[in-house]
Formats: sequence, C-alpha cells, structure tokens
Amino acid sequence: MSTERETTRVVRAWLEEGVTALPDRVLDAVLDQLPATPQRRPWWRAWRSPYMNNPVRIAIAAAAVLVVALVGYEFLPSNTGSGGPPTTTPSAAPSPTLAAAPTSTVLPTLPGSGPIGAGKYTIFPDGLRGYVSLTMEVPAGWEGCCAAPGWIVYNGGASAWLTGAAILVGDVTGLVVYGDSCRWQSSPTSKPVGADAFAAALAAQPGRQASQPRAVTVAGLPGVHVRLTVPDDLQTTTQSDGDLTFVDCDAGEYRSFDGRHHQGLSQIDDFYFVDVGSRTLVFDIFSFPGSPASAVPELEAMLASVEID
Amino acid sequence: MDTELVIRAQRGDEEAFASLAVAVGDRLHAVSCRILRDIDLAEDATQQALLAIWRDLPTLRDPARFEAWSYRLLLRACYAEGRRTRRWAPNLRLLPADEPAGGDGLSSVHDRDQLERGFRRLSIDHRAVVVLHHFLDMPLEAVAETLCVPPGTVRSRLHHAMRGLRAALDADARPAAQEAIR
Repeated sequence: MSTERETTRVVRAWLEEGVTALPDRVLDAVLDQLPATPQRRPWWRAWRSPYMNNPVRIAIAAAAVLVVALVGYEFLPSNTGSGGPPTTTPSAAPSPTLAAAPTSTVLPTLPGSGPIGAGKYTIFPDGLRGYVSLTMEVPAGWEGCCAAPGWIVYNGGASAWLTGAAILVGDVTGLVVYGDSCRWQSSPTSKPVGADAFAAALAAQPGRQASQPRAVTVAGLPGVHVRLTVPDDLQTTTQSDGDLTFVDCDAGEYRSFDGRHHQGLSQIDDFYFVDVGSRTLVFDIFSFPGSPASAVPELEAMLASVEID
Repeated sequence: MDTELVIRAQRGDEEAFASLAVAVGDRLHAVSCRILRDIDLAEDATQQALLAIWRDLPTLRDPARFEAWSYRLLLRACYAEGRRTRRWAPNLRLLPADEPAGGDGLSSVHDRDQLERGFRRLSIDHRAVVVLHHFLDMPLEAVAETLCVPPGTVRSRLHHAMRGLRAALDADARPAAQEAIR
C-alpha cells in the first residue's frame, strides 16, 4: 500500500517526464493566423479613464478642445457657440458648445474619447462597420469613452466614475448569456438568438432584479426593453485604478453576458434590444445611485434620436 | 512576465504577441500535454489557447495577471478539445519521454503504466488540479483563482484525484479476481 507522501512523490516524478517544448510549426501556425484573427476590443469593459486624474488625457483633451475651438473660430464665425470646453452640467436644451458640432450633411463620426460637441453624429457599432451605421443626437456636456465606437459617458465632474452615466451601443449577435451573473464562469450558459430571446435570457438570471421584458420601438424598429439592477449586497473592493472588484464573483467580475461586466453596486442597466437584419443590437443606458438626475433623461433622449441606416 | 509586452500585445502589436507566445508557449504546451495525455490533442489545444489569448487580450483587465489568465484560457481549450474529439479512451497516444526517469522518481515502467491508466480515468477538472499543483507547483489558492473555483473545491478535487492515482498504483496488489468480477 502506497503512502500519501509516496504517491505524491511518484506522481510528481511522473509529471516531470514527457514533452515540454511547443513545436515551432504550432507556434508558426498561430502567428500566421493573427492577421485574420481580430482582437475583441473591450467596448464592454468598465470605463475608467474619463474620471481619472490622468494628466496625459487631460492634456490631450485640452489640446483637442483648443484646436477645435480655433478651427471653429476661423471657419465658422456664424456659429456663435462659446468655443470653450463643454459645461459639466448637461443641459436640457442642448446648444452647440463646441465648433465640432456638425454643420454639413456629412455627419462626423462619434469620437471615442474627449468632450463631444452638441450635435448629430454617426456611430459605427463595434464589429458592424459596413453592415449598419447609426446616427444620434448628442447634447452638450458628454464625453466619448474608451476609444470605442458607441460609448458616450457623462462627465459628472467628480473623480469617481460612479457619479457618471452612459449609453453604449453594440452588437450582441452570438454572444453568450450567463446563467448566473456572479458565478458566470461556472454556471450554465445560453446563446439566445434575436432581441426577444436575449432579453428573456437576461431577465431569467437568478439573484438579481430584472423587469419583465416589454415591447418598445427603437429607431422605428420593434425592440424589447429589460431593466437589470446589480444587487447592492455584494462584497466589493476598489482597485488602485478605481475599478471595482466583486470579490465573491468569478474573476472578480459581475457579468450579464459575454464581456459585459458591470461597474458598481445598484447599477441600473436599461437594455434596449433590436434586430437589424440578422444582427441584434443593444443600446445600454446605465446609471448609478450617484448619477445626476438629468443624466438618464438625456440618455433616453439620445436613444430616441437614433436613426439606423 | 513582462507586462509591457502584454500591454503592447493588448494594443494589437503582433511582434509583442509573438514574443509573448514564445515565452509562454512551452509552458502552456507542457501543461496541455499533461492534462490531455495526447500530443495531437495537446498541440491543438495549445494552438487554440494561444489564438484565444491573442483575441481576448484586450479584455484582460490586469496585465500583471497574464499568466494565470493564460492558463485559464488553456484549460478552456483543453475542455473544448476533449469534447470535440472524442478520442479519449480508445485512441490515446502515450507521451514519449524526453528524458529517463530519475532514480528518486518512478520505480518502474509498471508504475508509469498504472499512473497513465489512473490519470486517464480522472475528469479534466481533476487532472487540471493535479497538473497545476504538482507540475507547476502552484499553491492551492492560486489554482483556485486560475480555475475560478473556491479553494475548498480545489482541495476536494486534489484529494479525490490523488486517491484515484494512489489506488491505481496499488492496483497490482489487488487480486486479479477483482478485475474479473467487473
């Protein structure tokens, strides 16, 4: 009869035997496939930088505002906007504050970072360039985020991002919905097809507050809305960069579906799903208890202004 | 691990990723070989894992945790490879030994054979715990983090797996009649 220690010794010796080197042909095959393997950009990731005291970002944003203001002063004298940086308080009656506000029929693309001038923009949702594009009216006081298409965040003017709010647009076609938002790596998953199925799968997630999916109209198309709330009794810690870790959840993240992890306790996500051809788009308006009262109505107005080409 | 390389690869730098792949490739492959016990399957799993690492790198929140994260993707690839191929029991190709067994290790070819059989009976979950802990020398807490399961689960799996392997090593002591009864 082997002792426990003897078994461990023998198993360890046995594991030491055998192949250790990766054949070059396997490595070459991987590297050959890189150009055809697009990286998944983290447009669902927690935003961090807009509310962080990052001197580089601030300098870049300030320089961008200055350039835009100078260009506007030079070429758009009739546009009597202030030309300065956007106010940090969103206005219920949007007025142009940056010369970047579009004046021609060719709409600018929504910037992925920095202040956004009030106006109408084109959005190419991640992964759908060439398939679908959107236009959206954006009031003053908002920022692009995360170098990603379709992120607009409110700069609450505070250092903590939990005082912000955002709308993001993306393609959820083929994404996995987790059976449990906290135990998302160890729970059964589903791959719902279409807006209705996606909303239903989210509403069925246990352990979180979810509204019943209801029919809505998005950009003139039939869609479905579901509101999900992150529980307020989960244990979290704050990382050095201000991001939250949900300590009892898989990988420290609280997730609804593939790649979509949430940023804070009591976070409210209003998901609006709509089928466009064979793709399912989502508009996610999310906010926190600390978000300004005016933020969500403005985000809803942005959504109401969306037109899909 | 050079976090600067990780960050550059996150931004789509293929050269940086190539350097990363060279740095971690052997280790990943050694792990997949030991879990899957089949060279062909292991090569496929390692290849898929490296591509998954490239694809998902931008979603890695903390570059300093690249190594544990890469093992997590490798294990997913091992699971997928196992499900996809169905070559588990009947068509396994034993791993060739690169080096002779040490004097303080396996006492006989018989031990190796028994361990191989015993290990193949384990689930991937159990194999992964054994390999991460006894081959990579990962502390159990780190194994738990890599596998995204509670530490208690890791301890339980390790106990179960080692008991199975011990039983396999002791199998020659059992009466042959036991096998005949089955």
